[in-house]
Amino acid sequence: MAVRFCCIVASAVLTVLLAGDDGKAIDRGELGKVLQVMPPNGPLWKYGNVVMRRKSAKAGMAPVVFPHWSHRARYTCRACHLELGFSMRSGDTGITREQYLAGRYCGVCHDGKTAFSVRNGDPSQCGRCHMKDTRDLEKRFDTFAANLPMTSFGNGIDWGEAVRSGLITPANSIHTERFTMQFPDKLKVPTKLGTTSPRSDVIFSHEDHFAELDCSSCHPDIFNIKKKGTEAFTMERNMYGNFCGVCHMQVAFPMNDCRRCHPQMSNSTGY
Amino acid sequence: MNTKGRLKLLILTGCLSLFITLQTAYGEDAWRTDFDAACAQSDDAMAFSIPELKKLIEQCDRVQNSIEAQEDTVRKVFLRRLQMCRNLYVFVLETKMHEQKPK
Amino acid sequence: MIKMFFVVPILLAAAGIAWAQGGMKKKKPLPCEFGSVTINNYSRQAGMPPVVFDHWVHRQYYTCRLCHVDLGFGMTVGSTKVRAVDNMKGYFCGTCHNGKMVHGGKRIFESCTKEYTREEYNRCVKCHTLERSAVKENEFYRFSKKMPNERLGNGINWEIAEEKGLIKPVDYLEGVSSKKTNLKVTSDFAIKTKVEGMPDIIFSHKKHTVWNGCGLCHPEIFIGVKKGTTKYSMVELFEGKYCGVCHDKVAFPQTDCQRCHTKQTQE
Repeated sequence: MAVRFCCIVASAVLTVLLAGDDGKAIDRGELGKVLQVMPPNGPLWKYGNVVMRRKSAKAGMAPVVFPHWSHRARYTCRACHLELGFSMRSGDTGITREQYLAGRYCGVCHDGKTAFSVRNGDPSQCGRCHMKDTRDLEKRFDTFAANLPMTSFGNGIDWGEAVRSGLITPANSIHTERFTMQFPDKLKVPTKLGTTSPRSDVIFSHEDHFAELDCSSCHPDIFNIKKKGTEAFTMERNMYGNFCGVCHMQVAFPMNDCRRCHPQMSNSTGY
Repeated sequence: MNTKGRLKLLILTGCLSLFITLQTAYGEDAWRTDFDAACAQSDDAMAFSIPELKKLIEQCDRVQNSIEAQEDTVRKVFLRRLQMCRNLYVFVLETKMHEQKPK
Repeated sequence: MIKMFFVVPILLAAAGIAWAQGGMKKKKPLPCEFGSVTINNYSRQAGMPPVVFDHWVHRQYYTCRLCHVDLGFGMTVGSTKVRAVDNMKGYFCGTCHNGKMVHGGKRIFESCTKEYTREEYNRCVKCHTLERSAVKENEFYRFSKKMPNERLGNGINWEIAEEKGLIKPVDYLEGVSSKKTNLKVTSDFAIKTKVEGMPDIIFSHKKHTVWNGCGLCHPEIFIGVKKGTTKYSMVELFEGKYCGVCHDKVAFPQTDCQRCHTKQTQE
């Protein structure tokens, strides 16, 4: 009997281990960290920054702080995430010093011509990415954001409006203007996604996303292309970094900006 | 035998021994020649007429019997190769017959 | 009753794994890992690690057809069931990996042997290894630097590489391949798409037959006899059917939409 009991306990523990995270991309602790830095809880300049520690720490260097905001003004997401091969999951790309010195990844633009070089110069400029402190970055953000349209969420910059008004013109490709697939007419009409209550219905624009991304950035990994095939598409899982939350929690406008997707809802609840 | 003849023989044996050392696998028996005859033209399948295709399929079936008498590995490799080329002939034959029907 | 206690958690656990699949980006293979295949039919039983086969190493020298038709390698992982003894007899890997064949001035290492010394074991683990090798990765990056760039898969545009003469894949092995006539290339054709305004696919027979011949795809992978009668959906393709047999796994990924959907609807 005791053996049987042990078996039951063991399988119960297994169940919790396997099913307990409910298939979420990040756990509670990580979500907590995300919420802590997400404006208005955290500063505007910090939203969308990726801190790369693992390899830097091994090499005895300060971590790389990568600001999405300074890059996305110049290039669309597809330039780096498709053309240059940067993964959308942190830690997947496996960038090494050898590779960027050989002109891959960061080294494609950071060659001393398009942008400052990844090679160490005189005076030393390692610190421009391997940041010991971020005061310089903060200062740069203030001048950078000064002339861009404002919003209450994320970086405090309305990126969509900035593109529409021509204040920024992000390029689709690094090298030459690559051939990009024609956008299908059928998808030009924004898609209405029904929710449990009609007041919270979502208006989704394929076109706005295609301006930044390729079809394959989302399909079929994040959203499979079967009709009604997306399961467990809940707000909770979105916040835990699944589905829309892959981008819209850490880089693209965050989900406390309810009305950007649910136009009939109010943003007044705050966070 | 004159010197010319001897030289010829020497070259011939030389080539033969070279060939043997190079080629221990993949056989050079009668069935292999038959196989090549049947399947070497598989990439031209589209260019054959219906009777020609039927003849090739028959040829394939004959080779199949001799391949089945070979040892394990040879069977594994060549039955697959034969299958692929026979299936292609059948496929093209069906396509051609299909095209003929509506007329 | 007690049985239920076992069944329920197992079901729940299985459901947990199924949920975990949704809404996340899959791990993207590194450029050097793309097209690598792990073969474990008999290796473990023989006390060896499985074989990790890299397509990028081989496809720079040989066409797809040479191995997948002439050598008899199947198109799905593990379907060929190669045994060590087959290699020793000089078939499959052993056709070239026999310690005698010379390629580009280098002798190709022998594949399997019945007995091996401690030193020779280093040769075994050239293929029988699951560990990532920094040497192999560096070799890949050195090689790929010389090749035309492409954004997904291996990060190499193999087609342009051949056009420019940077690679010259061999299509014929003396004694192994059947002597062939020159391939009569059939014409390109357009495949209509279902979504309105989605660019049609221009399928190039030429690009495919050069490396594959006819029999590799027809009728095993594409069975449709009459043009336009078989409907292919992206759902099936992403599941690994039809084009998905090669594309995504070895040939450029199907997620590189514009490489196939090339015909603009408004001209």
